[in-house]
Amino acid sequence: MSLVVVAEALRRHFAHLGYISALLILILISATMAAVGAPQTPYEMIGLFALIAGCQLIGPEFSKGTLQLILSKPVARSTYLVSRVIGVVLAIWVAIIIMFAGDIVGRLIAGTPINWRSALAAALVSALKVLLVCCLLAFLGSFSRSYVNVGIYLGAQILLSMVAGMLGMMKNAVSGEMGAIGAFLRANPEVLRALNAITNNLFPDGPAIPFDRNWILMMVCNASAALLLACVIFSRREVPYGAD
Amino acid sequence: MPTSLTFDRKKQRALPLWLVILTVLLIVARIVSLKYPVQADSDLVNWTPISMASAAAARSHRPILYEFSADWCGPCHILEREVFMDTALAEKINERYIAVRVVDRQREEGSNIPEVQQLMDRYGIRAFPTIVIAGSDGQVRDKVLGYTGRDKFAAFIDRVH
Repeated sequence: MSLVVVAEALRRHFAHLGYISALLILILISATMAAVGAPQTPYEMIGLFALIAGCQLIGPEFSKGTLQLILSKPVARSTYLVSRVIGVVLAIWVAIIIMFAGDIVGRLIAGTPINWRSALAAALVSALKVLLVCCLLAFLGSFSRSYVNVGIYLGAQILLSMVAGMLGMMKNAVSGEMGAIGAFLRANPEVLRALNAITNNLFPDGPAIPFDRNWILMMVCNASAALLLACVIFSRREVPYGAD
Repeated sequence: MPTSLTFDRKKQRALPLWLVILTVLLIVARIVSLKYPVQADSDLVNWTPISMASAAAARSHRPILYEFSADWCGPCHILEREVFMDTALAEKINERYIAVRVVDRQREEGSNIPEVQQLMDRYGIRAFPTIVIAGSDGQVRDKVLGYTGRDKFAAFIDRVH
């Protein structure tokens, strides 16, 4: 890991007007929601924050031509990629910590009781989802250009949920053309189970149990695997001179 | 000899060994951990099976509290943690209602068992969590969609009763 790259990634975020504005809005929303008795709702918005920050990993640098300059320096490609991901994840984790503080302050002002276990569990879930999203975007960015990584990510999410929904409906069909598909799905339940397993691994919901170690392990394991794959592809990628 | 100008290209494309080892260890740990699933903290509400709810409500002259939820529903889990695992609220629910949990399995299994689907159709459930308070005759007394915090839920329980 290169501390210089991590520090530069953090500096880029902290000096960005969009990041600061988003942070202020998130603090305000988390404090307000906590005060009105709907805490933890703003954590859902962190996913969008992670997509916006994560989509800038590698792809745009490749297309703009800045990556060629960076790779002319004596820094290993994988070190650069991992450090960039760590920098982006840390920048968003800072936002989560500030939101957590906003949530607690909002509850203190409103005089609502603080359930620390629940509040910490929600922040942890959010932090791990950010880690996975950023690693997946780094993986998708390792072989694509510009902001295509976020397009693939969102496309896959929509496609998987659509296919799962359609197959779920087809499973009940007993007659007509769909009847054959329904019979196949009923005879082979592992098809739907596999599809759900893929969806749950790539785009997981929160755990049913707070601090569920298996869920935490799944998130860290998938993030680590995505980052390793990103390093494998990125280290072999041709980076020609000039921008797209 | 590699210098800052002519550095080793092979080194530049090398994979970080620590990441390879970490990933392998995590995959192994995950496979092992699947054999030991984490048990949920049991909530404090006395849940009554769907089939016994109406008779129990008629016998005890208490309304039925249906909690419609799904395993994939995040707010449902928050509701369970903050309300059904809370001693004071759980006690209140047990005293005043016949509590019935109705879990939707459409996403996981493609369809629900008939008694679950029947209740969902009857009360027009379109989102989770939804709490329905009904009499022993099935008539709806109140209904709340979504979970907006412990205090509001506590107020809802008091209001309906």
